[in-house]
Amino acid sequence: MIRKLFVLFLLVIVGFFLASVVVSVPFGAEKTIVGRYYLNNTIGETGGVNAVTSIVVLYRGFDTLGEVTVLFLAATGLAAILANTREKRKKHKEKPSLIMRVGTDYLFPAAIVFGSYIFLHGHLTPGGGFPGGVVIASGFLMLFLAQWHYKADELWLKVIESLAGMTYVLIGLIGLWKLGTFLGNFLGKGTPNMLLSAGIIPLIYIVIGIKVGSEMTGLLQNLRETTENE
Amino acid sequence: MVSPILLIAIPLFMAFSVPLWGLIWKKLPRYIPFATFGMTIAVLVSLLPQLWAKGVISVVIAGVKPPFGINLVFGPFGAFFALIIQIVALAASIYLFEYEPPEPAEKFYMLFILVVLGATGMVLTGDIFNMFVFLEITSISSYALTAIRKDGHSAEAGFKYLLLGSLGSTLFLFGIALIYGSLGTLNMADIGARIGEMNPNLLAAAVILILIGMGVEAEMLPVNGWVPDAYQAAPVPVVSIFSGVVAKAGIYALARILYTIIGLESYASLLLIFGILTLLAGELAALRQKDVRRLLAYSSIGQMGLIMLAFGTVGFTAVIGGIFHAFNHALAKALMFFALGIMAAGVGKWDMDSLEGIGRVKPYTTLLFTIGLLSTLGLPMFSGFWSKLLIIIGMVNAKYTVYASLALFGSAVEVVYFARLLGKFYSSKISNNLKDAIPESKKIFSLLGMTFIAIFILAVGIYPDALVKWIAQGAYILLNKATYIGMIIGGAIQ
Repeated sequence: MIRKLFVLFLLVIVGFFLASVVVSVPFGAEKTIVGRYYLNNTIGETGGVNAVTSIVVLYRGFDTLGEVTVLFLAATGLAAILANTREKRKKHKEKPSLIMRVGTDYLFPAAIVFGSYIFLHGHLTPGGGFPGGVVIASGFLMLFLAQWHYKADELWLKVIESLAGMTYVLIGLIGLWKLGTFLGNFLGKGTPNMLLSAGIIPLIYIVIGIKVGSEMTGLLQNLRETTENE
Repeated sequence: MVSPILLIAIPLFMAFSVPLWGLIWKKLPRYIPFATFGMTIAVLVSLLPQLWAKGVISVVIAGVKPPFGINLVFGPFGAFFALIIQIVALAASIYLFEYEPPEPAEKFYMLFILVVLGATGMVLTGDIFNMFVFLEITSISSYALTAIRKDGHSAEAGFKYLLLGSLGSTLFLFGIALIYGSLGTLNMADIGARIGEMNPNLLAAAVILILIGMGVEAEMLPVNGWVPDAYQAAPVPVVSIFSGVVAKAGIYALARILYTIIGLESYASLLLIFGILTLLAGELAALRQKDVRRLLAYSSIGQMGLIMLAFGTVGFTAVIGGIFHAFNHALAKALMFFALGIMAAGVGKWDMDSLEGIGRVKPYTTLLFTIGLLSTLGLPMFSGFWSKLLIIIGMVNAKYTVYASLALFGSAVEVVYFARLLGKFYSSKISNNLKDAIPESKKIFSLLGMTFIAIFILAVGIYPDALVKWIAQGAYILLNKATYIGMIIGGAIQ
């Protein structure tokens, strides 16, 4: 009890001091130099009309490569720790109904198409590789939930994931080779607002979309297999 | 075209490709870390002439100049830490040849490559948010590697590390957010140039958040509770990576941020206080340990404290000593852990009593262990001697006599427990547990790799000048913030 009170007391003190400093940060008052530069130069420099995408893939593309790696690590780490620890517990559950099974049959392709649409149009509309990939994985999640026998082929997931990651690094290296700068935009900018524009942005988002999709699917499958015995 | 970016791109590519190699031949992934770090060392060495000619190699990514894009800075200070990391990683990957990895092996090798990649990124990046991304890569792979053996103990250690580590990363990110919120830039040189514009209270909050956040990886006192458990639970090659790679990247980040971004004058005392507390706590706790891995873990904490102390002194000599000691400690600890792994192979127990008399059963391995130990102790003729000497001289010069004497006291404690350990190892009574020890002749590659490290330690001990010349350049850049900023924002950008 005393310990809990002490922790609470400490939290209040830390919170108070942090809050008292944080209020002095100007929030939303005016855009930073860096932010203004991005907004003013996105279309001219990258050919992409979605400034967020241009920042994520080009201006700070190196961070994104890192974040892709972080997601990959989370999936890999989880798989490594969960491997061979499958519980042999029989769970009594009601079987999915006919409507669910048939419904997911029709929804699954729609989810795949929608996910692909999101990452293909990342440089034009809100969205991009990460949300697109997650939408694709959600299609697989529906199958996992409604069709108990369904199992994604782990070998294929692994190969697709590896190839997508390697392609991302290779795109960066082509930039290094052609323009002398890693992740350089070696393709033409094209006409803004067209599907084929913004150079390597769509290319990278396709790779990220596929990678995130296969990664999340593998991760969901791992979690499913550890909690229930088929 | 050779560029520092390859030090990141090659390991990343290789890590993603590990499963594909596994499809060709099941045993191939075992050799991928060696191939990877062989290549990165080759890249690093081939960049050195360019580094000496230019003073610093700054490369921009995606062709966008800082502060709008991200840049890598391959300067004398960062390059030296990158070298430490690659050497330890290469040695560990040679050790992996004869090491039975925990299952799933493929994922183990991927995580192994990525933890080194993250640390390399941390020491090379010129952008503070990018440093956070690499910190995440380093720490997430470390959590997984700690827990990978899947017994209760490693799960507990992994969870402990996960809690502390994610708390640390969050605090670090929060500190960055405070800086970005007031200055609107993330490039380290740019922040460094404009740090004066920041509200001093806000800056103090940011510094404390960053210090505590990064302190988790640097094994700093209040947030190093994960260290002994993780060192005990993780596989041996991974432990050498923790002490030789992860902790070194953490201390690099602390030094880089405090010196280059903040400008240390007002915050030096923080490092001094945390450093001396870490040092004394580590050394005193090591006295009571029975498990050799835990003993080495606490000794590692002590050494990190000494390095922090050196950076807190803010003198040329002390900083040279600190960087040099980071190098010596990385090599010596890695050597000791490799040796310990071979000594305990087949024994299955890691406490001092079970390993009593190992010096007679596995004489060569114990000799290598002893070399690492003596270098850590700072015996003359070993490389650790010079770095400890420089740190003490630096502290005395800066009139920090109390700290210097406390540091010497810590070293004296170190002598006590290491002497006791050696006494056990070379005892004439041979423990019963050593009956089924696997003979050291079965680990030829590992011994070969370790012999190289040992020779390196002795060679640097006898002739430290070449290395110290390089380190002095790094220390100079570190202490002269304006030079660094001028090199990055000024003309040196390609």
